[in-house]
Amino acid sequence: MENKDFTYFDSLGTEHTVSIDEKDLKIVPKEKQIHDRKMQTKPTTFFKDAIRRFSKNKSSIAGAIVLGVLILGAIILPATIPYGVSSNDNFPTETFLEPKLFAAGTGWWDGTTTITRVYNTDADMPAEYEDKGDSILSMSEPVEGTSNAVNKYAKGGNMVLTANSEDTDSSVLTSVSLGSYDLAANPLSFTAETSEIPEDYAGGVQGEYGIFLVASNGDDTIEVPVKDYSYEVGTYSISAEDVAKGFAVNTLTDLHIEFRLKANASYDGALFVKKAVLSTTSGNATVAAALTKVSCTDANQSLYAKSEVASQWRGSPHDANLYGASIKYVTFVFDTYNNAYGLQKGYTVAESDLTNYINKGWMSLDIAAFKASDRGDAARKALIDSFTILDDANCPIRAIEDFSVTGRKGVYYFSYICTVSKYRMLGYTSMPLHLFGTDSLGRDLLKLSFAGLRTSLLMGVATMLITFSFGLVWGAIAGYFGGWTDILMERFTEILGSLPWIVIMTIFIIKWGSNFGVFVMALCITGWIGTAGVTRTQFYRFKDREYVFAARTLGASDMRLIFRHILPNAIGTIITSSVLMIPSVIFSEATISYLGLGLTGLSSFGVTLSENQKYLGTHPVLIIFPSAIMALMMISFNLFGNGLRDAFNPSLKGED
Amino acid sequence: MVKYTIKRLLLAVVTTFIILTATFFLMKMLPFSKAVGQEAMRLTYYLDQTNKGFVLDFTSEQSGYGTMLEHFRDASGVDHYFYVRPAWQQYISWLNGVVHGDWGTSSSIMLGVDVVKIIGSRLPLTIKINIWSVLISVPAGLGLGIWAALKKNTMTDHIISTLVMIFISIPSFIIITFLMKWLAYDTGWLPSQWSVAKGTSFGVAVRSYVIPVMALSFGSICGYTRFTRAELTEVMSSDYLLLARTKGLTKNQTIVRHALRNAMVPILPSILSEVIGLLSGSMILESLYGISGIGSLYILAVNSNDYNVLMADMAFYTIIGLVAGVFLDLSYGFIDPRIRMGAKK
Repeated sequence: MENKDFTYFDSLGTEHTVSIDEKDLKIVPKEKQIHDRKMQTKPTTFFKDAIRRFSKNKSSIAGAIVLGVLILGAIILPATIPYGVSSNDNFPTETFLEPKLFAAGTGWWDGTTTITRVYNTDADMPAEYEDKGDSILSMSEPVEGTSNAVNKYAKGGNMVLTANSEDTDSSVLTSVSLGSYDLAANPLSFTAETSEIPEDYAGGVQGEYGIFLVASNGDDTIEVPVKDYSYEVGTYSISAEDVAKGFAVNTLTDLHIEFRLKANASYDGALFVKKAVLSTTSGNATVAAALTKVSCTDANQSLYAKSEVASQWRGSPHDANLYGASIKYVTFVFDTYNNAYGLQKGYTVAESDLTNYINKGWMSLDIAAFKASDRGDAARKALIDSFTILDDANCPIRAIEDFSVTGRKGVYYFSYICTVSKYRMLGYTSMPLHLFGTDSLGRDLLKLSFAGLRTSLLMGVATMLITFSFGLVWGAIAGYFGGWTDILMERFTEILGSLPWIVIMTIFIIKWGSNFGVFVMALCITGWIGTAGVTRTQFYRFKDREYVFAARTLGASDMRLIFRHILPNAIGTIITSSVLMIPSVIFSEATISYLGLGLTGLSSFGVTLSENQKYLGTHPVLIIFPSAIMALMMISFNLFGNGLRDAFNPSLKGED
Repeated sequence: MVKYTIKRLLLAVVTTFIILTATFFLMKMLPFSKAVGQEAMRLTYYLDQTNKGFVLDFTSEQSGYGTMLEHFRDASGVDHYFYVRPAWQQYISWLNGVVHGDWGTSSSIMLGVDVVKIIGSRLPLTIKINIWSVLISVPAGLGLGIWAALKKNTMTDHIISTLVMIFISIPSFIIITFLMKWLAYDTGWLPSQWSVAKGTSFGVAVRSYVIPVMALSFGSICGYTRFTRAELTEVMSSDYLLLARTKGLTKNQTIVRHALRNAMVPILPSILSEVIGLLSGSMILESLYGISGIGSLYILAVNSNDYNVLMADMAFYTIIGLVAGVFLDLSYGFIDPRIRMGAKK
């Protein structure tokens, strides 16, 4: 090993000698190129940097995740939820089902609803729910309350007599009959008490009324006025002597007390009666009892439940005719799913349907043997016993109860009365579970909401793509060339932009109908202006930069300058503004739907929300769920868009 | 400045003209509006259209005019054949009418009533509701914005900014719906529909105003808060504010004398122009809450194909928008001479 010595002179002319060990040197072929060593840090691009910045923004990441979940839901849910609109008119109860996740009776999100209904003492159940006992999970004790609506099962208050516009003899509000009456033996007196119509009563106004005793004596009809026609309210009585003066004969047939509205009076006239009492001074107990029966000493006595007195006074057109009275009501938990999908007894099934089920192998029933028999009790029992379910998941018939046969000219038609399972009848193999409940047409709200989301998103993306392409080109031309081109193009967009979008959409929809394409087209007409404006500003910003000048000096063409040097720098901001276009499109679409010009044939947020608006008071769930999804989507879209903007353009950060 | 103003106003007038023309021809693409109702009323309507020059009235069926539109026999037994004139001829008649302040008569909402009168009768209600909304939202928005800007990057700021973010994202109809649900249906505190009529008691009238005013204010408050906060934070970080502090002013003095005043320069004009814009009302609010204002008139006109009302309403919307824009630009120009047309970007 030998050291190589090199000699050199410094600036002062002194000689230096450097000795280099040969093993430190390497022989390299002359043609091999030597490069700098790779950088230790990772090189980054504009987009990578933007993504890094974006990922540091927690709220934007949250927005992006929520948005991703919603979009995924919009793609997957409408296709996977199996519940369509049922076409079976026999069970229209699939509508307005409550949201359900847990088993019925868990108390929360279990498909039950709490119903408060007026309680009828004559029946065990509230009137409309009498035959739905198995769907009622629990019921409270009856509670007393006051009703400010006309009610049938009430006590106290005032009897409401209203005219019936369909009745030809409409002037008679009510007529209480005593039948044949011996006036001479039992002198009759009558007292009536009427009261003012309360302000909050919505059924009519104080009518001009009169009270008459009417009777016939052979061929003649005699009337004794207790009160002449007027609007007055008060207590009226007619004594036995007055009645005797009016009816100069003793034995009357068909004696009536009539409350009459004046002829030609307005049909919305009403009369509130507190009391209408008939009495006699004769002391005849039988007559007195009969009179008590037809007297209305207090409104409650006459109308509560189904008493004899009530039926007498129900001459007025509505059965429900007590106002301001005390009522009894019960609160009960009602399982809407059992009501819609549970078992139904006494359902008549045609023989052909049963044969069909047997052929499918769902059940077995010995129909042939039964038809050949005498159809007596033994044969009936044999028929019922021969029923077996073979396919539990599919067979809609759960039990045979009875048969019915109709014969005509020696030909007999058989049908069977069965207990059926409604959900199997509707074609489901298990009890359907609607997470968000169903709407007024029985559609699954979850499916409907996400189908709406899908439509809205599709519309947003379609509009975004079109406006992005067009606005980019327009803005690039205006911004890059400037001068007169810019001024003309700017004026054009300014004028077009002054047209309210709602005006354009209205005209388009009236002209071409409200379908998806028209919506996208109408939204694009003014939608591109925003993108064009952003692009133009960005081009103004970058076109005078030094690197653009440098490229131009080197001979780059306009196209190359636009696409290689300016656009890549501007694209981030433009993309951000385009992404934020999607929620605004969704908002526009929903607004138009609210105005009654919504999409036809497709469900969207706007259509769903505006359709369900009328159920806000009764079924708020129908509004809450779609609204919540829409609000969630809008918020996450804005978070996502703001995050994108901050990432692409850090100098704007914090300026919302 | 005078030159700028004239230029801006002229541009606005030209824009209005172009937009109205475009709207007119777009409207003429729609099926011809036929009057609804009884024969006599329809005849009156067509005769009125004849006076406007939109249709021609012949006493006998004449050839050469293509399809006759309608045939009526009036009370004196004279036959009328109505023919729709070409759009450009209608346009000239219409323009002539509009220049003289005649926007035509309603064809179905209020048959035969002057459109301008219909709009005039509905405008006061919209303005009343919107004025209340402005009275509430401007102080609230400015206050919240200033508060957030002064407490920048603290918990207060984050809470205000987040709330603004949320409420600005949620569409107004969802806010209205939920206000109606909670304040009207669930609690029963407020009426669920607009219930102010002649003779309504003061209490009911006040309670009727709450939901519409709240619904309108939510969005505005958020907008003002956001804008004020952005402007004020920008001013707060400027050099002259630092200079003011170094001169010896206290923080409060700098904020009141320098920061707020400068921040108000862009804020005030935009608020004023928005106030003008509010005249157009909110269609959704008015239709959901049953308020018979300008917005619900638009929907009514769309649904009943009352094109004259629709046209006048559209023109009203467009003009309000343009006036607000002109006002914004002019007030910017007055306040800050650096901002002039063309130099905005």
